[in-house]
Amino acid sequence: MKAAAGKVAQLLVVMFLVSLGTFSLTSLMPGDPAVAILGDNQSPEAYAELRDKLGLNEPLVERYFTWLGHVFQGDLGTSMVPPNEDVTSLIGSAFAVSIELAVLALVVALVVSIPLAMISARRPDGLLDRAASATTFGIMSVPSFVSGLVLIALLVNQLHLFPRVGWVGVTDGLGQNLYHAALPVITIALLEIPTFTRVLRGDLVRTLQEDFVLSARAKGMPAWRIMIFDAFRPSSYSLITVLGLSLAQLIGSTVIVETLFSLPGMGRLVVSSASQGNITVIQGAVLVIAACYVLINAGVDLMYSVIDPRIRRVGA
Amino acid sequence: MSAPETAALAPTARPGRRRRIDLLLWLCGAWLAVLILAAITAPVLGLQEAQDAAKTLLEPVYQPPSLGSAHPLGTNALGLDMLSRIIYGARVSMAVSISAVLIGTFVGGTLGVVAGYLRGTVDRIIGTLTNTLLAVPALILLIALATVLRPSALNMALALSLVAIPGMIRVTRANTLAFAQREFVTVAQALGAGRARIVFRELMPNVLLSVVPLCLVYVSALIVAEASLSFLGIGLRPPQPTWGNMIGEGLNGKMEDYPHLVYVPAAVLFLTVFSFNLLGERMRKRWDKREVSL
Amino acid sequence: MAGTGKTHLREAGSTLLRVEDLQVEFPAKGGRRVHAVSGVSFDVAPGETVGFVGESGCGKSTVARAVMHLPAPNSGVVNLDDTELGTLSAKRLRETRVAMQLIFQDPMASLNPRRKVKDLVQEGVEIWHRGGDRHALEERTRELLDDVGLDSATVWNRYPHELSGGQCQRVSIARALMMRPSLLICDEILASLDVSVQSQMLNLLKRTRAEHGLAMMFISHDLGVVKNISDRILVMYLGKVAEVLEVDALDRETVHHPYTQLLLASVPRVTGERIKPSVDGAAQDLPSPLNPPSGCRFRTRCPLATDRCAQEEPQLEEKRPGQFIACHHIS
Ligand SMILES: Nc1ncnc2c1ncn2[C@@H]1O[C@H](COP(=O)(O)OP(=O)(O)O)[C@@H](O)[C@H]1O
Ligand code: SF4
Ligand SMILES: [Mg+2]
Repeated sequence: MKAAAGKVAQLLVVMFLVSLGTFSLTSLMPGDPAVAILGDNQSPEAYAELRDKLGLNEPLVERYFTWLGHVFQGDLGTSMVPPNEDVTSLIGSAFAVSIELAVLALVVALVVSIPLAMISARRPDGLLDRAASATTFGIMSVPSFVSGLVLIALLVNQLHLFPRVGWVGVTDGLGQNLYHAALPVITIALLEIPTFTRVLRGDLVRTLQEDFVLSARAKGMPAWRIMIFDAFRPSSYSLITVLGLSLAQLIGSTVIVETLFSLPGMGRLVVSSASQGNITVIQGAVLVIAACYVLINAGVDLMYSVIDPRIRRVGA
Repeated sequence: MSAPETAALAPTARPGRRRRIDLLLWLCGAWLAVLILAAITAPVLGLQEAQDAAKTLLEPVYQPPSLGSAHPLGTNALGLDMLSRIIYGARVSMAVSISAVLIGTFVGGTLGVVAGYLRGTVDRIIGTLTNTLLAVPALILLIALATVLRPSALNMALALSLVAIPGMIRVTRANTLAFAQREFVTVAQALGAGRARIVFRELMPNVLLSVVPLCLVYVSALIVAEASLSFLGIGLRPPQPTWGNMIGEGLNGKMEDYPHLVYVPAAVLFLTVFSFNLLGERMRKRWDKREVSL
Repeated sequence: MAGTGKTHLREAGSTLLRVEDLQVEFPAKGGRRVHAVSGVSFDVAPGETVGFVGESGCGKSTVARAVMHLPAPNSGVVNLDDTELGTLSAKRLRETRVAMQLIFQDPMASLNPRRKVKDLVQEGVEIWHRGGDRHALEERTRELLDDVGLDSATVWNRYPHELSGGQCQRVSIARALMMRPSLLICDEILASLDVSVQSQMLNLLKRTRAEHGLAMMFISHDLGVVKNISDRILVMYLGKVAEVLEVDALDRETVHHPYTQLLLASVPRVTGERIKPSVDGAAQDLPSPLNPPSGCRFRTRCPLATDRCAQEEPQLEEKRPGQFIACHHIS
């Protein structure tokens, strides 16, 4: 209980530091932020107005707390770039797209890596294991914008299986939605498959040498049954750790594919804002993503304390 | 049916297989050596124009690769030579990523060793800092910094080092905990060594050596990160050639007609990243074995 | 409990090191504490060798480290040459404790793997800038290396992993001697060496001790080895002192603490025949220092134990000339 309280306290401190870092992004801007944002051929009034809007005339600490107060009320400010939309709602609609991509990619990655890991672990160092290991190692070295382009060349340009660009929301039909999401999701999943497979394979190999597996084997149970019903669960501990970490990282990974496939998610929002110097959107996005990371981590920790697979392993 | 031989044994090194693996390692090493050498000596290699489109008005544009020609890897939309753009791109990629890893290793390594050696409050503070850096995904962090920083090579190296620092802190801290248990640290104290000496002379050399494999993996990760940023158009800007913005040139429908625009830099990027990863992985395995035998 | 009390301490002025009521605890899981050392007192006269014996886990290494204040004990007084270490500033402590040098059991782990032999041996000098001129320093280093039985020319530029365990241990000794210590603390330094190398090392230690006028704390779980090199012996049991004796007492017909008896029973006699352990407790393990037995800590294994042993802690008393024993039932 005390440990949990410490954890929560640390997460709060982390969020505080992230907000501090995010807020001070503006002070990293070289020269006058107003000039940096508007370009240097505007009227002095325009600069003054923007400076006022950014609160640059107040002392730094005061500005931080004003800003933080607004953030707590769900107000992330307005976009610096016309039509000056509300950042919270900009992020809100983009976030839904990214989350869908991330979750789907996670599912695809698991669906591929779990069987792959089981096949590899069945005969460690056998032909299949080595082939899988070499393949995953190779995939690990392919940046997602490269794999995305290769997939486009093959599946879109050659085979015409998927649309090149564009996004259809779930509300406009699940089929169309998945059809448009498929290629981006596969591209993101490729990033995670190697790690998932390697982590799970390693644990499976270790579990398969344990006594309870050997005795199940001695009883003549089929190998695939042992793998699925006996070995998998006690071997999934590291995988859960990696999963928790990567769900948050995946939101970062969507940046590339959203740009590549022109999808209206967080990634594209962040990239286009970055090239326009649209700092308020960037700040909002960083905060929201960090909050996600912190929450997911808290959730994973909670999951451990509720069902610790290592404790189960003893009884298995 | 499951046979007993399915139980995992220590990897058996079959002679044929060993040789093939070593060959791969040597190929990767050779590739990196050639690339780094070319990058260092680029200005004196007598390469074709890589950057200034005003000088290539008479050159063919979109020339596909053709090994015998003046442009063995082809030219881009402005008639700039792909080979020399690749080599100048390597210069930037390597310089930026390697310096970022060096900065990250030094800063992260020092923080990690200090946290692992002093423990207590210092450890908690450094741990919170690490978690803070980890709370923002690497690419998002880089984009946020790219929004406010001028896109110079130095800024890029500094921003990228922030990506390497938290991982370095974690690993060096863990290694320090292991090394600090060793008697040689206690003996050094008995000889009169103060904290600074213990950290920098006793622990750092051992801990840093043990993170060399991780450094190689980080070099490859940061090469990808740098390329991603230029690909997204928010890293180093054209006309400065980088592998990322070269690949980016192939977007907007040009890839369909001139695939070499994408495939040439993508292949180079893949080979380089793969080589660094493989080197790191092999070194880690060797290292683990040595640790066991000690 | 087996062994508190200070009657065995000699006059304060006559000793080099005087340790009183040393107590060391380590925090353990669930707010519990490991009672590693609970009230150990002893002294070491200049040039004297005191042996520490007891089975693994009884707190010998912890005593050695606590004497060096690495880390400092939870309580207790350590006087070195009439300087109380606990009262010193961190800097003064570092300066003062150089007069004591430690050598550990694991020869490899005691040497920084990234340093060459020459740098290892000169490390302390380098820290204190005591080198004087370079030439003299190198001269002295080579001399010491040769003294401890290494060929200085051969090992000079070697790394620890290029040396054998025995050679590493010799490097450690040379490194310690480099600081011109008055007390050498040897913690199980023979335990990881081959038997043939062990006797060479014992001879080396005896010679070195004579040449440098060293006092020693010699720690070992092996009573035979301790007897070979010590002037006095402290028998430790579960963080306490069971018996303090002059080494001659081992060759006399006399009584001992039941635990000493147990140790003696497991030492092969000169004849080579191994005497069967005469005490029932021999087979049992050391009780947990997390929760040591009340009264006499040895009572769970002691054949003589009575109710009194569970209630009352025995104190060290001089039961025979030159023999201090902490036991209710030895008179
Ligand atoms: N750093 C430590 N943390 C926790 N317990 C320790 C530590 N060092 C020693 N101990 C415990 O203290 C007891 C005495 O250990 P030690 O002094 O190493 O015994 P010896 O050297 O006689 O074998 C043991 O029970 C050991 O587990
Ligand atoms: S007789 Fe009692 S006091 Fe003496 S050693 Fe045995 S248990 Fe301890
Ligand atoms: Mg010990």
